[in-house]
Amino acid sequence: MAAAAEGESPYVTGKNGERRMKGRTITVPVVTGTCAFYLGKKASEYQSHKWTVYLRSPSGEDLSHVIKKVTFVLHESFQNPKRDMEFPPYELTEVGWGEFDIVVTVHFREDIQEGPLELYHRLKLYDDTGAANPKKPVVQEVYDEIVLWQPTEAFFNRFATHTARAAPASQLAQFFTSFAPDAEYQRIQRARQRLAQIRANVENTAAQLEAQEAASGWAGA
Amino acid sequence: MGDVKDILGVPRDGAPLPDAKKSKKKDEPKLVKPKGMSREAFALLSASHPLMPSQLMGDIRKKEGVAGLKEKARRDPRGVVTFEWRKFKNPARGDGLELEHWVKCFRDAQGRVTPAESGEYSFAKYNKKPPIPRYNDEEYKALVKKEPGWSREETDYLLDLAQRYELRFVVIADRYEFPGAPERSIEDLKARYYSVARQLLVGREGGPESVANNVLVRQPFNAQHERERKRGLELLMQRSREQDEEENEVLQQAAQIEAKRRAEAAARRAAAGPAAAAAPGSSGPAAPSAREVTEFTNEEQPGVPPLFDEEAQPKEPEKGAVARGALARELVEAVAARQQGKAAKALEGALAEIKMDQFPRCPTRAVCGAYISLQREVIELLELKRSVQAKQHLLAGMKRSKREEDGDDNLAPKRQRK
Repeated sequence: MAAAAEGESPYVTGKNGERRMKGRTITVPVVTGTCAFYLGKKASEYQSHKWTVYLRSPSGEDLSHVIKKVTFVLHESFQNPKRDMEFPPYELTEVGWGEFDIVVTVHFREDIQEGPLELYHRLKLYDDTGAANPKKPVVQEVYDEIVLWQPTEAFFNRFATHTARAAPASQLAQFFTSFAPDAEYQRIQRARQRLAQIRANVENTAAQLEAQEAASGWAGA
Repeated sequence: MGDVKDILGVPRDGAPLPDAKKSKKKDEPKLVKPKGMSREAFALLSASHPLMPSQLMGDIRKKEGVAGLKEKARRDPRGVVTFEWRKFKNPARGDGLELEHWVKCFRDAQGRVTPAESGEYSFAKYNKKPPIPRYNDEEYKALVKKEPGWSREETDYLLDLAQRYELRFVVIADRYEFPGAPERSIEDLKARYYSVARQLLVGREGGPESVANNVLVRQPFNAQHERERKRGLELLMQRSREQDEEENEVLQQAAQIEAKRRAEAAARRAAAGPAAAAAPGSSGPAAPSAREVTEFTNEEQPGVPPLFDEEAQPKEPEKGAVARGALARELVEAVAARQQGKAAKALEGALAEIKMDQFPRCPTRAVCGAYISLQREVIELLELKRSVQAKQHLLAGMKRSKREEDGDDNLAPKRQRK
């Protein structure tokens, strides 16, 4: 341990006296999603859509080495609105008619020693175009990253030696969307480069103006 | 039975005619609406439903409509509309001039024709006269301040002209001929007229408080300002193209000299202390040369906190486990919410223009850092643009005022009559 040799401890002590990795971060990308099917002829006023809310890894990896269980908190009008999912795939299917915010609470494994993390996901039943096709579901997926700052030493070591497993197959896998963070990063960077160019031009103009101002002030004196 | 048939006009023997027709109809297979087809779509099939083309329907309605209108007109108690060439007088005119025009009239059943509108000429009411204050002897003595060069008679004459020409001071100044009075410019006339009007208004009310909102009191006429404004305009118009070019050339040269000086100063500063130039505070002017933008990585370096603050600098999370995307979105929204009024709209518009108004779909570490920087850079650019614009306006104003000063002496004699 190089840091230790320099006389600085690589650990900090947590609230419960546990050893935590100083300045280290573990990032776990997750996707919360809803997939809603219009019931077509079987639809009634209060039961127009069959939808599934789920939490998955964007790469299709099993997350149970990090997550103990996932609680989906539904609208109060559902019976037992708090639904626990202890095993992957973390999916919950319901029938309803309205859109609302679902609280996706992620409970971590014991050795992580962190409280549950709440993610919010808006259930989407209706297409933006207003079309209702029983064969084509309305899919809404949100990418996020669970950031574990200064994780416990135990978890850090376990995570480092963990080999990824594929998550159990989901019936909805064909509707999952893909995410391209690198492409998005490049797009933002290109926009920033263009901005920098515009900024340079504007600053040039500003400098010229200042020179003019100085010149006119000097001529007037 | 036979008589009944006779009465009904039906042939006595064989199959009766209506039955034949009926059977013929029965021969045509009646279309049955297939299951699943909507009623509206079925009605479009030609055999399903005798449809009249809507275009013809319109014609029929129109014909009925025209006939209906005529009928209605005939029944109108006022009679049938006709137009007549009639004389009319405009009461707004003082001279009683009579002109003629077409007037809408009704001809009733007895053939008498009466105009649709009785009463005076309908446009006369648009002839508005401005209220011109007048005074009596007492008021003139008590309320109107004496002004050197203005006699009671001349003030009377001015008010008469104001009434006559309805405050068109260009005309008043043109027609102004008072024996013994000096040459009066528009500004002189306006200044006298408006001061008299204001003094009367305030004097009659007893104080300026109750009429403080009256435009005469709130914005008193400023003859000096008006003269300067006109002179400025005239100066601007009288500049020749050569003068303009000459000045621009001088300004350009001055700008070049100034730019060179600044570049030298910057170079000296950079040479003096590279550390000072690299400090975030002083790097402002050095930034434009950098077309590159800061990069962000997805890797978490040991010792570097994982989140970003508004300056896109690494920031420690407040809790051990957080959602990066949700926090970054909150931060970006909070920054946007701090922009107010026009700035908020400008920011929204600018982001939409570069198609960056949606929060990124994959908020990884690098994407969050880049997007937070992007938002900040857009805000800074908009601020910079605003300040440049303000400076441009200021500079244009300075130029104008300088020109006026320069042209003051040689042009002054020309401005006596205005």
